[in-house]
Amino acid sequence: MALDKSASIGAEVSQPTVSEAKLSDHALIAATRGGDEAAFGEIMTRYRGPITNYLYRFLNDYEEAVDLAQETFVRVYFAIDRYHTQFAFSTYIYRIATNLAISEIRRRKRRRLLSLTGLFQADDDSTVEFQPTDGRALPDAELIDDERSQTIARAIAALPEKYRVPIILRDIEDKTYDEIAEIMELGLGTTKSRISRARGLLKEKLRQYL
Amino acid sequence: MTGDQNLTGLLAALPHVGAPNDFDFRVRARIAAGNPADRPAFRLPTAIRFAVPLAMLVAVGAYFGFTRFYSPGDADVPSVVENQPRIAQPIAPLSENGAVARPDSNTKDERVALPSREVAIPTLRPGNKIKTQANSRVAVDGPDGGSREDTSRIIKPLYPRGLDRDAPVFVRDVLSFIGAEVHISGSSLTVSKVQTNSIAERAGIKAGDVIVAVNDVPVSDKTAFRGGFTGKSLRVRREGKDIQISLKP
Repeated sequence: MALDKSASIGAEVSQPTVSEAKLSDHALIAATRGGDEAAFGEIMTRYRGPITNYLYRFLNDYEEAVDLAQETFVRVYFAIDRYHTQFAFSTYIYRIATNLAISEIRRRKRRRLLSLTGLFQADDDSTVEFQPTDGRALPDAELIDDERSQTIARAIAALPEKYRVPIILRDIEDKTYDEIAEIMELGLGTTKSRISRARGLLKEKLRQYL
Repeated sequence: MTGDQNLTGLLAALPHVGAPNDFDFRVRARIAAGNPADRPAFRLPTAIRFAVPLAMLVAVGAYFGFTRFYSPGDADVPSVVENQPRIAQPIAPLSENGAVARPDSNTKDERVALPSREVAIPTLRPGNKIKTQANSRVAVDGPDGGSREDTSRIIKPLYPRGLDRDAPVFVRDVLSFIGAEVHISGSSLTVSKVQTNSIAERAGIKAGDVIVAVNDVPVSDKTAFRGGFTGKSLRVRREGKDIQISLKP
């Protein structure tokens, strides 16, 4: 089925039509289920930026963030028949991205645990993996040069997962508490508590900029 | 609250990172490749991932354990026990166990103090215990080559592995040991040559003597001795007369 669907993907025009750009997420999902590949292209156009940014802030690794963002859309595509429209699509796609990011972080920890070189590394997330040089111009080139941004990014990446997710969603992605609670599948009180705790931890680390 | 607002402003001011230009293309390529759940990820089987390091660990442990606890000298290499020196008997040609004591002195009367050496070798007999290297160390560590405990301990004679104590020793071999070469005519043994400075020469055996008896046992060319044998005397016929020759000093 996937091959049947994908066979027509390349031939389709990836740019959505004007009418598709005005459709809601649920309508685009329904159109995608009906075989409208342009509708799925519109979904990607809407969410690729926020999802990539969210994953980048979560992992502090641009290449990995892009890779997981692409994987998020692939999973959305193949699970589109199981998606229930009573939930907000933005919540749904963020939950998938969050689960992928958490899995990636745990995989990194296992890899570091098993590797001999990892024995001599500090046990924090401040280590930056070696990335081969890429000819493409990174959109965050200016960010890399900004020392303050790097410090903030490292401080966020050093937070425990349960605090990192809500603080990014709230203060960077500008999600509401309800949306965050739904993405994390937590109660509203717990969500607020974690955000408050995350802010406290960040304030300690970023005291010099506050 | 001001701190929270400042922090929120700080985080909100972070620049947003966008997706690369080929993002959609890559997603579509992945979709064309199939469902990620159906794509087999390359992973070594769990058994191999744990078995290989475990095998290496066992191998290293076995190597160090082997080199630490195994001593190749315990089982089949004879250990030499140095006992207290005792007076050698220069003219005693044959010992209790059939070994020939070889004096180092060229003079007849000189008695040389020689350290006796007993070769402790595990025997094939089930009754004999293997003399361990630990016992050898006790014996060697004594001030004069042996401890008091060693002197009071009865050391069982041990023989090289494969040595048959009951193997026959022919009389011509016994005579050869003491330096008398014989030729056989019929069933009689006639001394043809006596080695210089040999036990036979010191005992007074001469060429032409006919060996009649050893330890008063009549001998012929077929005579052989078994088990523990000590040469004490010879009876020879010289110029028609029987002469008793003592081999003791």
